[in-house]
Amino acid sequence: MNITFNLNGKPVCYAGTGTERLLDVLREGFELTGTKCGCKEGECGACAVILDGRLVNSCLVPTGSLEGRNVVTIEGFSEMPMFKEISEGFQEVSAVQCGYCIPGMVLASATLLEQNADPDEEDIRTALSGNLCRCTGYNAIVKGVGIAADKLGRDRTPREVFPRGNKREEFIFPRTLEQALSLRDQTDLKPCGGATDLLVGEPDPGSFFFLGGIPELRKITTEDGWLRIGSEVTFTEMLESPQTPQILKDAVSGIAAPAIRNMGTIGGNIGNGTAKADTSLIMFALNAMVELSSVDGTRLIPVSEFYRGKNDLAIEDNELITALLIPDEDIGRYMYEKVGGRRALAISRISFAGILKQEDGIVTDMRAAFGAVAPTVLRLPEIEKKLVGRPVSEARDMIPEILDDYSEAMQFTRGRVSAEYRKDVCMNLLGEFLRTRLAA
Amino acid sequence: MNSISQSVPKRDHGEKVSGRAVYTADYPNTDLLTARVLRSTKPHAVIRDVAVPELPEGYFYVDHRDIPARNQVQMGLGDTPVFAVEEVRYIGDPIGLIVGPDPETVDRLLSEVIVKYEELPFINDPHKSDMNFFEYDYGKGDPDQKFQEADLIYEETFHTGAQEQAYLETQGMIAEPDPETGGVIVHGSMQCPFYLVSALEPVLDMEPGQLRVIQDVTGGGFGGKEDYPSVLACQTAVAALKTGKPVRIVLSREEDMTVTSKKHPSETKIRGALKDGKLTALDIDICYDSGAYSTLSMVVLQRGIISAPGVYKCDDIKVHGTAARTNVVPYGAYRGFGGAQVFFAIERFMDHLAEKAGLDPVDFKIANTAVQGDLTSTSGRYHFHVPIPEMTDQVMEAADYRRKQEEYSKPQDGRYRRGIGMSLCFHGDGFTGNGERDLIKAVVRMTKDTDDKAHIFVSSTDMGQGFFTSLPKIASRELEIPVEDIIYEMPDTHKTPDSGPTVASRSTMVVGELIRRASQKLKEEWVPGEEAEVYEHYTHPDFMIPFDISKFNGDAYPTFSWGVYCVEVLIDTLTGLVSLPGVWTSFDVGTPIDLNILTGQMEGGVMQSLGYSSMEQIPYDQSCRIRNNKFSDYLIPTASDYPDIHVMYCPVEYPHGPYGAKGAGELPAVGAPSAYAAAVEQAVGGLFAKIPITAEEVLNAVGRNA
Repeated sequence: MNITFNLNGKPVCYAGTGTERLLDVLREGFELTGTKCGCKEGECGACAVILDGRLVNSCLVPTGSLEGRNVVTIEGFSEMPMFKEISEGFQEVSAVQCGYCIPGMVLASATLLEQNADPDEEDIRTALSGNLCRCTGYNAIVKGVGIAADKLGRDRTPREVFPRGNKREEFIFPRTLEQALSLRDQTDLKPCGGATDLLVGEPDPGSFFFLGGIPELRKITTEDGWLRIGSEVTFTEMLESPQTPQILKDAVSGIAAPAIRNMGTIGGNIGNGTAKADTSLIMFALNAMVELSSVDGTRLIPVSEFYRGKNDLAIEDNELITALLIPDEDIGRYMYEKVGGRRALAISRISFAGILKQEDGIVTDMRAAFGAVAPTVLRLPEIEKKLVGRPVSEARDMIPEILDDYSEAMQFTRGRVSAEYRKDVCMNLLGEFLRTRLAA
Repeated sequence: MNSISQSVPKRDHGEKVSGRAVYTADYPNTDLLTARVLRSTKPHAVIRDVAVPELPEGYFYVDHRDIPARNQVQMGLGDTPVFAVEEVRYIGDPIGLIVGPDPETVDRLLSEVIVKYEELPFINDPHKSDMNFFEYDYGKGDPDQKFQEADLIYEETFHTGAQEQAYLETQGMIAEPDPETGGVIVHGSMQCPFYLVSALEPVLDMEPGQLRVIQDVTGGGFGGKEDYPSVLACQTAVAALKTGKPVRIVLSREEDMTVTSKKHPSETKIRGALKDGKLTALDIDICYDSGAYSTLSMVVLQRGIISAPGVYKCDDIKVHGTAARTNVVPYGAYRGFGGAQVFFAIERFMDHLAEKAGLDPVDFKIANTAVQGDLTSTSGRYHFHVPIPEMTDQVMEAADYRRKQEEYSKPQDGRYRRGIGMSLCFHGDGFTGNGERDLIKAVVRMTKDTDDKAHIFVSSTDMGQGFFTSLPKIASRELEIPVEDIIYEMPDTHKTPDSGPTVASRSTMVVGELIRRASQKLKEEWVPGEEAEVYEHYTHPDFMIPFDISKFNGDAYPTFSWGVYCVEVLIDTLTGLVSLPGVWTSFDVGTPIDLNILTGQMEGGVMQSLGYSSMEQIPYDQSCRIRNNKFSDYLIPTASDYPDIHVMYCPVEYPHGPYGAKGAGELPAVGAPSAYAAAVEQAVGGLFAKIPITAEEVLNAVGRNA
């Protein structure tokens, strides 16, 4: 396929299969070697570039998703507004050591400062959290970004620096859901959303088709008592939408780091099939439905039935995940917790979401979902029901019994942490949830 | 503040911040052949057969049969082969190369090679090793007698894990035939250009004049690019000679993490005696897992056993150390070079000994810290002031340590608990013993040209630590010309004399001083518009007590750099997750040559030390395979993990370093783990004698001590 996109402000054409990594194409095809390769799994940020104004890891961007879009690399940005201030900010504190992470750091800083004129230290650290640096301990870089913000003026009105240009749906094929469903029905091509999972490893050349150009998959809407999140909505778009429930935002804001959140989609996260997917946990807790579409029509299936086991999903070969539907309701009190190996770029080792509703002193709903501890997210409706209908004080007295029930019923798998640790933490978090949320 | 300490813009800032800097992987593919390494998939086996597929025109298979002379990479005991011949000793051991113009075709061909192995028993536990590469004993005084007289004897065993350097740029090397000399030109990511020359000489049977090594812009080293670039240089050079073309190897991240050297895992047993509040005897037994080949384990172990008694005065000691062979990746240099392991052990030991004796750990440590004039572990002298007490005060004040220590030792309830801990360390500056005088014999060269620019010729590399900026500052100061008029290009072994490797925190102290003296000489010969050239040779400090390595007796180091760390933790008792509200440190590295650069070194080193304490670990599976050879699985700290690290200085000028400067690069990466463990221990109780400390271990301690 011929892919035409804008690279550093100039239209370019690339002939390929669509599954090449943008990183390789930039470095080898266009000889733009300022974009560095550190891991090829979206984990280090050395290959970060800016795609339509968003920071992305170019190692996880398939060329087939680029049609009509705007890519800015460090070479392009070094000729643009804001580069000077960022460079000077870094220079004043000698933030550049080995330099290998720096092009990515500069671009991560730029996307922050494009949108936020007055970032505090935490904003800066979050913006840089997907860019690993082994030399500096980050302090100097964080300070350098702060100096750049000073130089640019902390009271300025942020304005767009990076080109956004054309909307993707005008270019990418397929452009309609019908076309996509037909491709799904008639080919072995894999549906590709944000590609942040699919491009880890080496895909077969030309084995994807891209869903990013289908408008109805990219919307969040409310209809008939349901919040409908199209499968191609990215994590960042969920965070930016006022319609997204806070519990979902809490979970999404802890996924990986900005460059991954800018690309990864909810459909991909759910379709990946793992119980470690942070949105999967929330979908379980929210009693969400998965909308599956095919040339034969559309069906809804509860997320708990959609996941049959590890990497075993109730989806037919010709079906696509087209949306997640969440009951549009007040969920009352909730608790969300994630245990990862570090504070960003961390795959969940244990995650927990609890929801507790009470009305007039009576428990009306209790849900507890446990992620990353078993082949699928765990919920035990039989135990949950025990509390429903009871006065809060009585329910509180039942906490030890409930904990025992869960302790007996749940089976944990071992992974990077032991099954025992998973159990201990789950019981601790469940106990904390019940003790703190079950209250007048 | 000495004016030399004032920061100047880093020389490489512009090219790096704009992405223009050219690293090894950035040279275009067009004129290069790509080599990928055929590697052992078994931890220990005899190679029965290597079946290489039929290769298209222009593609090559390279192995030990192509080596012109000796199949031996010069390091350690000489046991590391360029390519394995009959036996492979770890998963990743190189067997051969597939070389050709198209990287994807090379990958495909490599995947089609079939190696038949006859598997042999393998060893994954240094205690079950059939061979110690190195074993040392030393001691002084009469520790047995002191143990008999002791008020209290305490014994504990400590463990530390492996650590991956995790430089962002993976290792890479390019070799090309040099038609001028009939030899090869090798350039790549490296710390020590002349180590590559020494490695290539016996493999290719060539003269140094035929071997030209040039450093490319290097994306971090931290010790990891001290020894392994020699392996890559030999492999690419053999391939370049066979193919007659430039050949490049760039390791993938997984490959780099699987095969390149890392910090030695360790076990240290310490038995100590206390009498009247003083540490009177130490009996220390250290075992480093050396991995499959000896590489740098000898010198790492030497530094480890010399540093093992820590900053403390103790005149009756015995120390035993071994580096044991196993069938895992060869461990080697990691910033700190054997120091981090033993400082964790001795600092934890002193904390626990104080606790047993009912003493305040900080007071106890300060009361036992050596002072100027005291004997070192090897009966050398602390020739200069030991600033540990005032550094400790500085850190305690900044951290509000005393108040917090008292507050956090009271019972804590609620979900989160706090703790605070401190640790002390040193790093002996420069090569151990007489290394600088007998092995390195550093030489520097300076010239001036007709444009009145001065040129520095040293083999010291800048891999991010800033030497390309800080060294010219020294020359500029002496020559009284602007720093912009000092030229210092990428080290090229055909242009620079051997000023030694960029290791051992020696560059500023040793090479910097040589450049200072050379600059003075050059100034004397300075005639505007005319050329001049000067050389300067290393001179051993005359105050040093000669070091006898066979007895571990004398001055192991001319002087020491000192570090004090305070770490505060906040622990989630539901999950065992640890966060750090504050980290405070003080360092004595002599006079700072450039404060920004130095602080960057300190902050980065402390960060590595904290990662080593908490999240960084290398688990092996049953078959000796590293389970987490990826950045998504080997976790290093992100910008969100730790707070702003407070760095303070307490400079004790060293008269033989430039303007009083001494070693700096390794020190910050040596000492934080015990402070981290002490803080966790205060928050949740129990004894923490192993790093990394996992969330699971923290949670278990919460449970046990509830």
